[in-house]
Amino acid sequence: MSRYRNEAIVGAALLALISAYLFKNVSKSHFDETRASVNRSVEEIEEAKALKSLWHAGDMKKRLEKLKAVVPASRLSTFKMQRRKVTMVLKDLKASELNRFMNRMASMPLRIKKLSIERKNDRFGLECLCKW
Amino acid sequence: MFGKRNRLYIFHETVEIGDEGSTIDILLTPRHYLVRKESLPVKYPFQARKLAPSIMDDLLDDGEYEYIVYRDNGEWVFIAFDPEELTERAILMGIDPDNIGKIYFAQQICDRLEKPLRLESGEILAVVDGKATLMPGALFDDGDVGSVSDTEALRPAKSYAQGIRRGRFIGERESYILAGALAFIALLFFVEGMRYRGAAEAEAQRIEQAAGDDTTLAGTLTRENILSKYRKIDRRQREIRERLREIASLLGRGVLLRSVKSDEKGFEAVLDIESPSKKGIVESKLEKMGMKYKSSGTTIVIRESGG
Repeated sequence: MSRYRNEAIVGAALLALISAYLFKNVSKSHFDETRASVNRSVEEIEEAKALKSLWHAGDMKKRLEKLKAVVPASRLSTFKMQRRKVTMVLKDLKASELNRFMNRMASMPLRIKKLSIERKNDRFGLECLCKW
Repeated sequence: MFGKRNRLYIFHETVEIGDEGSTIDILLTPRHYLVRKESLPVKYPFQARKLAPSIMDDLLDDGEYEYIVYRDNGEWVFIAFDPEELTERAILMGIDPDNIGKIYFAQQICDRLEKPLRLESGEILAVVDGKATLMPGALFDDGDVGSVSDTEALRPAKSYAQGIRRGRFIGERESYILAGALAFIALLFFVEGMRYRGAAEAEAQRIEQAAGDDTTLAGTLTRENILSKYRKIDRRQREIRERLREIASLLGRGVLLRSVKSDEKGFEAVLDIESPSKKGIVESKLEKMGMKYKSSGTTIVIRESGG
């Protein structure tokens, strides 16, 4: 038993070293994977927050009132807001008025569900259903 | 394995080993070691062990000695023995040196030698000036000395040496240094591993911090559902706005918008071309934009299916 005592001592220390090295490597891999996964999750959370705040905005009613004022009141046939939905029907719009209205609407975080623009002679009619 | 004691033999020329092949413990008589007792102002054995070679120097011949140092009644006891010589003696006695386990020294049993002890060899083991000493048997009468009936009764409480041929390839000192170095590196690896474990746990908490008040986002499945929903909305709405911007860029003198329709099914725009020369320009632009269209007479219909 004592024949290889010195070698056994060194062997045991070597075994401990190998075990500790493997433990360190496994822990490092685990850490790297966790960090990569957490970074991905954090990026997703930030993206989800940004998209949600953009397409699920809370203060749209005031902004829609401003949109309404872009065209003369006489052009506005229907302007109905229900919960998080708005239905707009405009008629006899000049090209410049249509252009101004569309530019303003496109810059707002409204989800355009239905849009219909029809030209009759030189005037345009517009129907739009949007959500937010 | 545990708790089993090897048989103890007093190491002298006439010893007979009953259980050959198994490991035995030996008690060395003063013939096989040299001893010196000193009062030194040192506190710890490792300090005393460093002084051992110089203290024993004048007693020893040339050779490689091993030193045993321990404290006894306020004095430091220094013992030196030559493992090589001991190995040769063991072989001469018919003992396999590899079978020698613990080594004890007669100096360790001085307190049990109030009455001198006659060994099997006939010599007497007695204490002279606080040192275990071998004396000729003729100097004592039988009535004045004890005999060794049970060697186990002589076994000292502690063994300071283990085996005389320790390792075939590595020396004892080297093995301790190497094992110490390896163990130290192992400890560093282990500590580093534990730090990685702790850091991984701290990393996981970042998800909850990023989610903030919206705890639903911390869950992977819920987050993926929310993200998928809003990514789809975002892509679709950007497409609608991009198409409207592109159609607007085509309009001008000679190119009029007849209608635009956009819903879940897709996107459709109808353009009236007043001048035939403009038609080619518009078609060329549409191709550059990668938009699908159908041209018929003075009308161009642009159509894309909804996502």
